[in-house]
Amino acid sequence: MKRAIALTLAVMFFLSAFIWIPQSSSARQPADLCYDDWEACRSRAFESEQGIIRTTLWLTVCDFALGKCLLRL
Amino acid sequence: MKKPGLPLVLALGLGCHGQWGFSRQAAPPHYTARETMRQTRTDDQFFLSRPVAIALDKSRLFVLDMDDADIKVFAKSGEYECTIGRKGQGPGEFHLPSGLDVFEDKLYVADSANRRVQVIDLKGRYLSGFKVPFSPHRILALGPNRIVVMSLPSGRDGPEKMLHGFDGGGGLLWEAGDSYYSQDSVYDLMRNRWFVLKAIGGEFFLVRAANGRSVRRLDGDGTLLGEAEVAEKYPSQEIEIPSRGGRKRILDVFCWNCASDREKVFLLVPERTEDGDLGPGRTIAVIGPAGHILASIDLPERLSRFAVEGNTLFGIDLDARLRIFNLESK
Repeated sequence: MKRAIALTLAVMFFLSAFIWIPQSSSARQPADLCYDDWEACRSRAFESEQGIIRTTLWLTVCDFALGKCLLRL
Repeated sequence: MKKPGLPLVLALGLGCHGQWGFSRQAAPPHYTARETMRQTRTDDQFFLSRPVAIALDKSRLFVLDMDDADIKVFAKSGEYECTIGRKGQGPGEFHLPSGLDVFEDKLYVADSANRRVQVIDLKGRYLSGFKVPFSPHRILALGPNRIVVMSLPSGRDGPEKMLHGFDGGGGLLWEAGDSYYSQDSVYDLMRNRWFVLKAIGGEFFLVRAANGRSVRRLDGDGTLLGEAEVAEKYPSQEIEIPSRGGRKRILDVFCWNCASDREKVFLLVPERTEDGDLGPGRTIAVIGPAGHILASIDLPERLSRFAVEGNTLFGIDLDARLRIFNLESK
């Protein structure tokens, strides 16, 4: 289970760079746009039919993506 | 002269409704959900993408689809009728909508990513709407002039109010309910998973999905009217979730989802999945006003969302299919 979670997290973290970051930072937009994307990411994760652990992993990826977005401003 | 008979009569009277008294000791009756309709594939695809909310009026069933950004309308027999809305930012358009309610032939939509509430008629025509300064998550229309919106707290600046009461024009009337806040955004959000459900008389129930075992009742002004602790035999489930700094934190999951029908609250009991995670289960507990388990419903399959009306249960399964069941006593 731990290995599966670590692998899932790693894959999702890698994919997050392609899925979420370009929307947030394509034109060096203000931090509020990063937070808009973050909230949208969290909304989608929160409404997923995945279990609790998977949902928390997805929410963690949303946080990573937010961090990356803010760092690129 | 004292009237000793009154408390006894009151206790017996309440006992007849299964809340107190002699019936308290009896095991709750079991119901089985017998399927009457299952949505089938169309063109090898399921019809719903990410159904997130169900609302019922007298003759129809409305399913809010977050990914498709629309509302699918069905007859209560399950027959598809039409689709309302589309993705966008204009009137009658939605972006990641997450909450839906119906009141007097009007649909109220929590248009989450557009940060607004929209009111549309049953043909999808825009009637009114207003912006909100938060991400609206769930919505209840208690009356034409009393709309309760629950936000999805961001936790950016500490605890936030999660319940917001508006009039029909979008004027803020009241705010209530502080979010849980521990500077761990993931854990906090899981703790802040709440449900608002309609009760009769313009009132509503508030149920926390985790780390709480109560059903609260509030009026349309956000005033707490009462709180019933759910009976101990109701099975909540603890799970360790990854947390900030590599720590693990315990989440005590009370219900996966819930619904109400008049004065009853229906809690979807969480259940362990094959891979050790915790997800929606196959049992629904029916909770009465005093928190007692009035009955339990056995489902043939896991449902993620559901609504109940009388002896009919409308559900969405994990493949995003609409399912309709009749509740029959075992």
